[in-house]
Amino acid sequence: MDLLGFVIAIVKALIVLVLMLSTIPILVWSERKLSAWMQDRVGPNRVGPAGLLQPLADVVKFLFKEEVMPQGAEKWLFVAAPVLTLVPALLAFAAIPIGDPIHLFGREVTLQLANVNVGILFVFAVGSLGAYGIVFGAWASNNKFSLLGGLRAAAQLVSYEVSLGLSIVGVLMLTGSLRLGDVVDAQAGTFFGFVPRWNLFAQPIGFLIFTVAAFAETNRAPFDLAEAEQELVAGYHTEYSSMKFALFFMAEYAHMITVSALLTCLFLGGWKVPGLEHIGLGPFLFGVVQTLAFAMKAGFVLFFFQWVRWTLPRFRYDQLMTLGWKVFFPLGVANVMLTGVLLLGSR
Amino acid sequence: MTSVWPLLLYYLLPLVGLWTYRRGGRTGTLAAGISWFLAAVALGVVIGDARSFAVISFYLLSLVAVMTAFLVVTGTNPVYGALSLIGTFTGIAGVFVVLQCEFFGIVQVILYAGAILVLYLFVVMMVDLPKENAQKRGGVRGIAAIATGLGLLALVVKALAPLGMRLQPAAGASAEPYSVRAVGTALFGPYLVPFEVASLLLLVALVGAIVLSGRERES
Amino acid sequence: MNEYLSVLVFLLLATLVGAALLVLSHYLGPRRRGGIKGTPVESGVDPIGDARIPFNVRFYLVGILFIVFDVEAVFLYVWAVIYKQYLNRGAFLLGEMALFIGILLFGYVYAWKKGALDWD
Repeated sequence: MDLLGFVIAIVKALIVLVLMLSTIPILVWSERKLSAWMQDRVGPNRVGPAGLLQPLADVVKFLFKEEVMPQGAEKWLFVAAPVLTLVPALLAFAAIPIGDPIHLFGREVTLQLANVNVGILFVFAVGSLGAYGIVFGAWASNNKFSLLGGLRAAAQLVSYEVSLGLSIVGVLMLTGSLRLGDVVDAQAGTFFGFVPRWNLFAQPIGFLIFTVAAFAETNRAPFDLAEAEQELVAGYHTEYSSMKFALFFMAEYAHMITVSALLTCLFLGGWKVPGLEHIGLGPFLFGVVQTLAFAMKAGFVLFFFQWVRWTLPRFRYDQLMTLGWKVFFPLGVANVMLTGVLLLGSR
Repeated sequence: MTSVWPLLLYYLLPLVGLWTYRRGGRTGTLAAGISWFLAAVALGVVIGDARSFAVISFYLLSLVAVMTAFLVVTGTNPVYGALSLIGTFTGIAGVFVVLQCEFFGIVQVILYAGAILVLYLFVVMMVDLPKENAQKRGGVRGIAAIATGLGLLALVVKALAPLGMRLQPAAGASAEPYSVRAVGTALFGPYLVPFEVASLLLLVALVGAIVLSGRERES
Repeated sequence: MNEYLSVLVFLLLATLVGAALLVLSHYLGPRRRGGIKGTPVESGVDPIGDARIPFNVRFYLVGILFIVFDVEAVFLYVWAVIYKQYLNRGAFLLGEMALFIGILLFGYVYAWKKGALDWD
């Protein structure tokens, strides 16, 4: 390990962290604005132009709010749980690339924090650890609603994790690698000359399962059973206040960012734009356009998340579990076998 | 090659510190402080002896695993035990990564930290009522447990001793002997039968759990 | 290895940020203890009994189901990665996996029939 490599590692870590932490307020703002428009309201419009600075004002507010420690709570665990939720949510992004490697200081620098060989599994593994923060926080709160919310969250997360895992097997079969950069590279070019060679078209069933499971994994409506306010007050974070609550909130948005970026890499061709190499851009501009394309695709997925949240009503818990185990699980297995047969036939 | 004594102290002293700290009181804290200081010295010796970054990471990660495992078996609150167990599993995963078995490291996190621990938590929370908290320790059972543990340790040491201690794959191994591809080629080739038998094992686990939980449809 | 160093750095940074935010709000926020503020929220009603209630055994069943099928998924990842490379023996590979999944499907069907997948 040389010094320059070490410096690059630290700089990258800082960039990714700042990128994540600055995207979260924008997401909060867009969520509030979008929901307002969909419900024929104005939404935040006082702090800054079009209310853009509202999330920052919220952060300041959170900082100055009183922390409440519920009676009978496990103090240490109660305080640690929000951090235990936020850290995996941020860390999962580490293995996601946002563009082709660039050349800097005479060496190749990948546009991702850690170009690990098992990238996809890294995102899954680290992302799934976020469930523990929720369960521990719920248990430590000494509140029945919290405990029920936390248990629901855990059961839901593990149920859909199986479907999520199965949905990407088809993609892996087409790619033959667990490295996310390879998955994106395999999606360059087009089918029949006009359809982009994205896994969205090659793996439609996988895409469907992944998208639905992604909603469940991020605890977003219509799968937000863990914090169903009509039944459970606020679910696992009922007893949380001030910045501790805000950390749970940030973790949810960080998960959304990671899942959107992962979806883009796996199914929407990552940063590949069909036909871009024929335009004749310089290498620098080429890279910029690619990364912008990635940001736009992921941004659209994020918009889609919010659009769905404010459009669909919530599932019932039994519907949710039945859907996961009786519909998406068999569908995922069938998709794997189908892909195997089709690949065999195309030989 | 690091000699055995600093290594032994390196792993044991932090545990002694944890144990005495648990005991509480001024003497306990003092003893903990002393043993942690000595542990830091042992750490210095061990790391000073290490040649590479990988070796240092190995010692640090394995210490994390050992210490959290100690907390799991000595703690009184099972939920905190589960929390410590996450540390143990991630520490072991880190050791796998240092040993260039990335895939096993990640699978360790996915299956142990991600799946098995969820089940532990469900069970622990299900039975975690106050009366179960204060279970008696020590006595004959404690001695038996320690003896069993030491016996197991002796077996492992005896089995591993001929291999010596090295952190690099044996000479002549392929460039990435533990990559996913290598694992797959082995698993679906020469190790096909164990792989298929594994599915039977999983089947038994599944059916057994359903039978034991005694959940029959009420029709 | 080097790649995981950045992961470690990022892990430390993220933990630091989270902890720093908590510490900040701890010192910036007001503290007015007392009253019924600390009682658990039960929608205005005095809490009844212990909050750590025993819950349904179904959660445990879901945990077991998850472990079994997660192990299956890990095997599938390994299999999927090498599938294309050995496509000339693809039928054999597909058969191996079909057998593996087929055996597990017995368990799945059993669970379905026994109502372990229902959440009524």
